Amino acid sequence: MVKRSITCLSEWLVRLVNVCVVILAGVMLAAIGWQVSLRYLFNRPPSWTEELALLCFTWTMLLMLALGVRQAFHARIDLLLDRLPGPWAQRLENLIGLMTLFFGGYLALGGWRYMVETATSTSAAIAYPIYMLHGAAPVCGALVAWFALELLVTQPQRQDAALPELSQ
Amino acid sequence: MSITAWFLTAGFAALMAIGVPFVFAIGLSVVAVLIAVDIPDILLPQTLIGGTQSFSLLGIPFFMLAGELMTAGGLSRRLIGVADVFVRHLPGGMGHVTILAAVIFAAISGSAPATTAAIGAIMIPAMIERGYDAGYATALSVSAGVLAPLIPPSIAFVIWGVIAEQSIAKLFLSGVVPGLVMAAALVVVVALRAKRDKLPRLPRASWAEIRTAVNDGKWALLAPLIVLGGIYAGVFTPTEAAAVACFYSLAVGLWIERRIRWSDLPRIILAAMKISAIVMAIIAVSGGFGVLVAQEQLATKMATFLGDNIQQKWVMLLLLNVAFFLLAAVMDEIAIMVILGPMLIAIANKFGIDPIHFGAIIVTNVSIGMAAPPIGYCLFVGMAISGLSLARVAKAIWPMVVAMLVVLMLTTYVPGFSLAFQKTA
Repeated sequence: MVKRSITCLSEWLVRLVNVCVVILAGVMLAAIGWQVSLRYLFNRPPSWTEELALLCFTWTMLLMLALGVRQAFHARIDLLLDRLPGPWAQRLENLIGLMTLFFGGYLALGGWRYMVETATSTSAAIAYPIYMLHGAAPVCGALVAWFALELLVTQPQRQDAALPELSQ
Repeated sequence: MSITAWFLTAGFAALMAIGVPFVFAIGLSVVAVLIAVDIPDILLPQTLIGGTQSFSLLGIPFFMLAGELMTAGGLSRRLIGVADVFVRHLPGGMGHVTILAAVIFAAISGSAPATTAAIGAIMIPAMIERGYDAGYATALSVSAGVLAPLIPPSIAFVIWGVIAEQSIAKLFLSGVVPGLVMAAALVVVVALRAKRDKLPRLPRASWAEIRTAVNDGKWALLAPLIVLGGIYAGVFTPTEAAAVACFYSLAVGLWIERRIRWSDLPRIILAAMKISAIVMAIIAVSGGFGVLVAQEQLATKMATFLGDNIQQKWVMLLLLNVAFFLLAAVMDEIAIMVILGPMLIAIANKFGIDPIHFGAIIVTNVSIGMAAPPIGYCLFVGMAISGLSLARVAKAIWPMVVAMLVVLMLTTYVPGFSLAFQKTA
């Protein structure tokens, strides 16, 4: 029951993250497209596009960083894991899961403090409240921790790790 | 050695060795230092956010997206069609088609794995169908794919430009000659292999075929002209060029090739953001690592140590290349660039190496690392396409890796290689 609830919530979170990422990436692209267009059509480069694009960029990348925990797409060396007998490999996977959970929790707490400490500041060009940017860190940390917890609780049998996918 | 240095070196290496993903190995090393030395925990989120607030790095997801859109929109298939009519009649013709198509694709996407995937997905099955060895076909697609970091625009140069605080446009140009010479080196490997295996030669394309292929591929061929022409004519920055490439590829895919539907966009965007996040996560998390390394003056100390013990520049450069090649066998190339960047720059400064030339050496190393066994990214992409084992592809790729290492030596010891076009930048 608990496992099923955790998995259900995780799947819902993945869908939410996917929707957010698609929207943020679209805004990011539109902002830079608008910047280029205005500069060449009207010779008036807007001051806000770069800041908006970077805000979306930070959120997109940190949300995807967290999603990488659940989808196991972050690159790693699994030579040791492949050579260990099944139960030991599983234990090592659990240890890695625990460390990831700790990292996520630490980032969530530190990120929250950072967001609160800088809450009164605003951005330079658009003057949006800076917590809108800094909030990406605690959200990312909380998601990393949640997805790591899900992996630990639901304990999927270790399969061959996903190949590191396209990058660079 | 201080406790900080222990955590950042031995601790980090231990985490990597047991299979912790690079991004979390870096992050956990930073967290360990913050706790051990009692530094406020806000340093981690602060550097994480700071690492993503770079306009130059914003080009990474755009270049990735442009590559995805080109593949989904059928432009990569068109490029292969153009390459086919020009070089298929040469000995080992399909191999030459792979290399030429990869060079053109690289001039738009800037991403090695995206180029490997786009070209390999079409060329590996086609080569196998025409009697080429599957391991060789995969190895060649991987080797051609890793030309992308050298041919401008290049994501690897964008990252190095940000780390080394150098002009990205100048760095792009420094990769042109090494990239083209590497492509030529692969051409030689292909020709020698064709001679050895007595591979059948395909008929030369007629003028009518060439005309048709160029006409069909004109929109694909126009893309690198827009991207590179725009950057070097001063029309837009590399990041803006990447965004323009996305709009262009999207427009061609939607309205000219008609292979992309609006409903495909979420899937395409998510694929691009996922692969961008693999790179960007490492860069972002490395921000904290960099701050701690700087606080400990590890980079300066190491550069001083090396400078005191190694007098000759050529020996230093040789050691650096060997070290990079060995490190790339156990570590992600981007992580090497980001984590060791400050130390590498300190060494380059100490030995008076031109920063643009040095950038070309580093990115040539990155290229080779992405193809070299056992953990080259592009190797995994090629294996995923062909379904072959690492051992089989690794065996087939060695002649190509050796050819690339020759180009690395040329890039390292002949500065004119990478500085050839600098006056035009």
